[in-house]
Amino acid sequence: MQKKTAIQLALLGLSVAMIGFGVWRGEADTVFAKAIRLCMECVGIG
Amino acid sequence: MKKMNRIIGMILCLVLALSLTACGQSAPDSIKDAQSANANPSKYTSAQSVLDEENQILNASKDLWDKVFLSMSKENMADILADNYGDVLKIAAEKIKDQFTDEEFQKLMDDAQQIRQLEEILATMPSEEAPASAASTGVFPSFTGKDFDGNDVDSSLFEKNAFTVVNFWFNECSPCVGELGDLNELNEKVKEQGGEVIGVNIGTLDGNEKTIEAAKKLLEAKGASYRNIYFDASSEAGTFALNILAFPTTYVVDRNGNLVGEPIMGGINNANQMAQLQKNIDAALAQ
Amino acid sequence: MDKKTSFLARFRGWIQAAATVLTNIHLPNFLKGSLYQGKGKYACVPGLNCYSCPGAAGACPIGSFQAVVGSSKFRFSYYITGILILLGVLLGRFICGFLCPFGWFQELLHKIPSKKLSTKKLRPLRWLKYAILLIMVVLLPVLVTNELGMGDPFFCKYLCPQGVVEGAIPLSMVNPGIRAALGKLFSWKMGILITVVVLSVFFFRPFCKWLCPLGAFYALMNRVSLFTMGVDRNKCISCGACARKCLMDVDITKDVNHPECIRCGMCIQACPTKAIDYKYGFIKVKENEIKE
Repeated sequence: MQKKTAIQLALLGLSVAMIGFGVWRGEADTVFAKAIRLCMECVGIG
Repeated sequence: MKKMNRIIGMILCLVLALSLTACGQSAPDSIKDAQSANANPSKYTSAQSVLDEENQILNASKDLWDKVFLSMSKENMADILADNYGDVLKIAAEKIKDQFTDEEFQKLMDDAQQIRQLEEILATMPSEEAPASAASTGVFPSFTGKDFDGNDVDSSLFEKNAFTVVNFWFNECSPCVGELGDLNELNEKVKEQGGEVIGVNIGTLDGNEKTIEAAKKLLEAKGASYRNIYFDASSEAGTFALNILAFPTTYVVDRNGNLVGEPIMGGINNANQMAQLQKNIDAALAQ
Repeated sequence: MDKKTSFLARFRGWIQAAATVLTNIHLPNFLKGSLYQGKGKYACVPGLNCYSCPGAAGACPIGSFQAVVGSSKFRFSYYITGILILLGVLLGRFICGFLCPFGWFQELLHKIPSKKLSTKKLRPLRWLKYAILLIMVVLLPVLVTNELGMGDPFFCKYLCPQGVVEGAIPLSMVNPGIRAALGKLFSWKMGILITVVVLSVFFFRPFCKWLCPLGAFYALMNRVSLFTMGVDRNKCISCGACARKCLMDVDITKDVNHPECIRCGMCIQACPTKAIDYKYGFIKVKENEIKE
């Protein structure tokens, strides 16, 4: 199953790269800003 | 035995479902009580229960009262101001009498009369419990800070306004951003009464440049020209702001820096919330 | 190896309980009616767990994805998708079976004695969760925007029952301002929650099978996950006990990495010859194992 292992390794590498890129462009800050404050309508209160 | 299990299972299921619905909308049963008891003072254990009842009365004829509230926002507040909120509602409804059928108008008058009585009960309640209908629920902590144009501001701004509507929001909150235009409209309207709308973006409290820039962009895109201010996160006012749990939240502050009424939670772009806001503003003006 | 795998399968309920507590570890907040605001919220928890839960230690992956793509700055989230792919490869739907609080919630409800109904004939409903993932989570926040390019988190706002269980209900219990703000939207979502609760009594994990976008994503990842099942061809006597026992309607002997398999291990416990096992790692399929 070498092919599958290759795919798995590639995905692992890709995911780490994506995470890094996302953090670099500020996505983690957006996640944080939204996650620590309650936007009522956003969770269906209203 | 199996049957027993099944029955227990059904009951458990029902209990679970019911307990989950317990926090939903409550039935307006007490309205009937109010009407029959003709506002019996001893019924009310706290000022909050009186206020709850007033709200239920208004909610029961929501469609009719929405029309009244909508008209109130266009009128000059000064000539329908009165000591008793029930009278305020009466006068406002009378002004647009021709929008209603005789039956509907009578309902409005009855409601206003009940609210008038409830307000009187409220006034007789010992002052520790709660003062008049939408009176002070605290103080807006004093602060010094800046607005988005770089000008210095401090809590003396409250004295300079007849009342101040303070809206708390943050950039990532789409309903908060969604109402920025409505808040600007409100600002234009309350200017005539000597009031002002002020925005406080929670993310800008530490003076974060990026957040302020982003906030400015949003305000501009929504055509919101009213003042937005920020102050130190570690100050008393900063702590007050950061303790706010849900957004958007809107407070009304009177001349003396007192908070008037309960904060409006959720957008003001629906009739119910707008009505509540109007009530707070009326009370602030009455100070 | 036998002892280890049956441990996982046997103590799954406890692991689910522990995962739920760890995911929502900030217990005092429930009484205070406040949210955890620490740095943990830069990261996601693996299961479906609303950030508006007072106890939540991290952000919900589905909520976070919508928050990022719904902001005016971004149209896609590399950060969250990266995290989901990473979790998917490392654990796949083991997360669903062991680490998701809402999955555990449905299983507890299913324990309520009643006639249990099979979902075998309702197979087509499984596709709904992929549609929900694609439409409500990925597309709508990007396509339906205001003039600033900001979109609503459609799944969170209109569908997710977990937000009602963990956010709306606990918060409205301790916060009168939030109680007063409950309106039509809340009623709609409460209706969805009650429906899911009732269905969960009669069906096994209906939300996971038919509605959960997170489950849909992990399902796609099951085939490339390091966490997998193994069936020893020498020991398997094709008695069908595993397929009969499986509440996700999977025949593990035909497909060890079926997208609907949540790795609950009921088949492991049902197998008379102990032919089924959990397997972890970069697996080279041996001769005596059933090929995928």
